[in-house]
Amino acid sequence: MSPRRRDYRRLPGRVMLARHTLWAGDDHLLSVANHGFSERYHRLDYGQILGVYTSPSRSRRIWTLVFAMSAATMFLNASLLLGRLRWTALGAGVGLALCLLLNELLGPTCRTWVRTVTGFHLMPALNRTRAADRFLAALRPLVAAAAPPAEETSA
Amino acid sequence: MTHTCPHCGAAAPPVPVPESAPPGPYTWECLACRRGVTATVLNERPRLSASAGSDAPPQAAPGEAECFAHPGLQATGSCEGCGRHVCGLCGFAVDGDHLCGACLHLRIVESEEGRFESYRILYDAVAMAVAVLPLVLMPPLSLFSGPLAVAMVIRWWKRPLGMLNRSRFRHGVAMLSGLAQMALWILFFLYGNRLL
Repeated sequence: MSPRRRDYRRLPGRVMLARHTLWAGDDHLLSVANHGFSERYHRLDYGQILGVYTSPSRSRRIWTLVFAMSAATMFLNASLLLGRLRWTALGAGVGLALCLLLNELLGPTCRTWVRTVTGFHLMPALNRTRAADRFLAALRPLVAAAAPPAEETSA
Repeated sequence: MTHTCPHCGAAAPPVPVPESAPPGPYTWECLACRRGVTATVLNERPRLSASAGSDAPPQAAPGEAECFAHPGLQATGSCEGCGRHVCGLCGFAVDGDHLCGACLHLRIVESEEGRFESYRILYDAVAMAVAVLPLVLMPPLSLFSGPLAVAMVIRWWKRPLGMLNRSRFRHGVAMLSGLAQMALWILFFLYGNRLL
């Protein structure tokens, strides 16, 4: 029988348009990559998770630059053009400015890996520091519950 | 636990934290790639399966059982599927069973459990795209896409959805859209002359 949705709890972190998501199962972490017409699954056993590694990335800065320059160009066009084109450029400028604002509000970007006994596993869903922190807080008790008792490992 | 850079694999400097302090996030700049990394240790004592964690499986002493796949290495147990001896490298603990790689593969292939799946085609999304996209991109195509979408829904109704068991909403949309397109084309063929 395949696991049902109720067997999984949604964890923080998602890529825009929900291409990658993270789910907490009974005994494993499930990373789902949705490619539109198919899904890929990657499972990580809680008992074998060692830690979470994050590294700041420049994505936010790059997107800020792209949105800011595009919005500025559109506003400049709106000031130079006349008629319907002016309103089109203005609408596009406002849309890009909103994207810029959203990008800033979502906070700094990062790359996140979950380290297990077999190596590092990149988590594309955790591309914002804030989401990675919330993910870490949610994952900590699950990993602690799955950790073997001290006497088992010391033996 | 020794930290390494996830970007380049270079070892991190030793953690300068007194042993008495609780382990917290450790931040360092990788000496090789110059990227900043923050590591948060969640578990110092991972639950190791027979296959993981040991750097080098011990060599079998004379008279000791040897691994079937790695002659010379000490067997840590025998596969509960085929009975072959397995070492720390090629034994897998699955649901309390100790299996070799071949038996694990066999179990995955034979099993209908979703827990072993790593890939699924979302048939409901395909059917919905077939039903809806032609309406947006090229409406005349709906002459074929409508019936095709209905056929896809009927054919794939019992196929498993995504692992997270999404609802059959997409199937429903595809079916309704396909039926509506078919009905409109039938009406067009019956009464189109009058309209034109």
